[in-house]
Amino acid sequence: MSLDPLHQFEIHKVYDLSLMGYDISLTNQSIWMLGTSLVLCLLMMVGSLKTAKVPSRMQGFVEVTIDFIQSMVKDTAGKEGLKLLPFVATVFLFIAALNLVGMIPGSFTSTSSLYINGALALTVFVLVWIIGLFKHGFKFFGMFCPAGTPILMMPLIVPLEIISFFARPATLTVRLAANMVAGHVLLKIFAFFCIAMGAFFAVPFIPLLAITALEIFVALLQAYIFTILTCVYLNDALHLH
Amino acid sequence: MSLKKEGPDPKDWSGYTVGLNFGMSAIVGMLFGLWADSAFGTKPWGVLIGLFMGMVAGFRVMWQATMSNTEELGEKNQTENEAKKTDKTDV
Repeated sequence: MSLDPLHQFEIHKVYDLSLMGYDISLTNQSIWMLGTSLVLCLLMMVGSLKTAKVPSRMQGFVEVTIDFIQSMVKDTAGKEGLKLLPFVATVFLFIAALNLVGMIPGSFTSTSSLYINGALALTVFVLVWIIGLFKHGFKFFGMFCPAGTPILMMPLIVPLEIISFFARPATLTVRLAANMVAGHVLLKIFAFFCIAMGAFFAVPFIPLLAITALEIFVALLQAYIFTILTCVYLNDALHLH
Repeated sequence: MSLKKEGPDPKDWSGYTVGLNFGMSAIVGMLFGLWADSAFGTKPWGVLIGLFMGMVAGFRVMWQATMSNTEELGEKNQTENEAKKTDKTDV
């Protein structure tokens, strides 16, 4: 075991693979991600296989989860946003599952990598552009000049709006990664204290237990925040103001 | 059946993003500046102006989020006060 608290985020190749000259080797991260996605798909499929009037536990779990996401989309993005429910639900379930799997000791927290979150955030960003341009055409660029701006202020306000618009995916990416990394480093440090203090291991162990509970909460909360901000951004694209 | 009947208002979440948004706005502004520098060969000025604009954009977002949240709070307090007043008149 390494004492380095960042050691758990190291990525190493497990199985060498290449496709048309590109290195697509399986790493410990991609294996954890593939496994998580597979388990998640199976869980959702088994839950929705038999739809009974009196739901089984699995069906109940799936229904409550999807219902929760549906009400979230409806509240933030309106009725029109419900068309995007499959996308938003996928994002939420994927991030929540990866975060929760990361809480298993010895596992890899895939959402601690900037590029995984960056890819997710970029997908949202590109989707916002596609929806906006298809729905509103060139009027979509009107969102860069807020209503009621004096023409004299335009050259100043428009770049500011563009910068804050492009800062959105960056914020989404960094928030999730920073929260996951910080939480897991904290857990590792407290766990190290437990060993280092010998007979007095209970002193750091009690906070460690509390932090573990907090981290499970944070795992779900971060998935929730990522999704609700996705909904807010999609709402901006659906309803120009 | 739903876990949460009343979802949070999207505006409530704008406050949560403010801190990070400020930093990321500055960084994104700086990246725009770096790009402008390499594209137009205006060496230090692009980065400087971009960084400055990014910070201003961050402050602007912060200002907007704060104002919208305080306005909502003000409205809530007002309606609560009005409710109290009507209660008193009822008594």
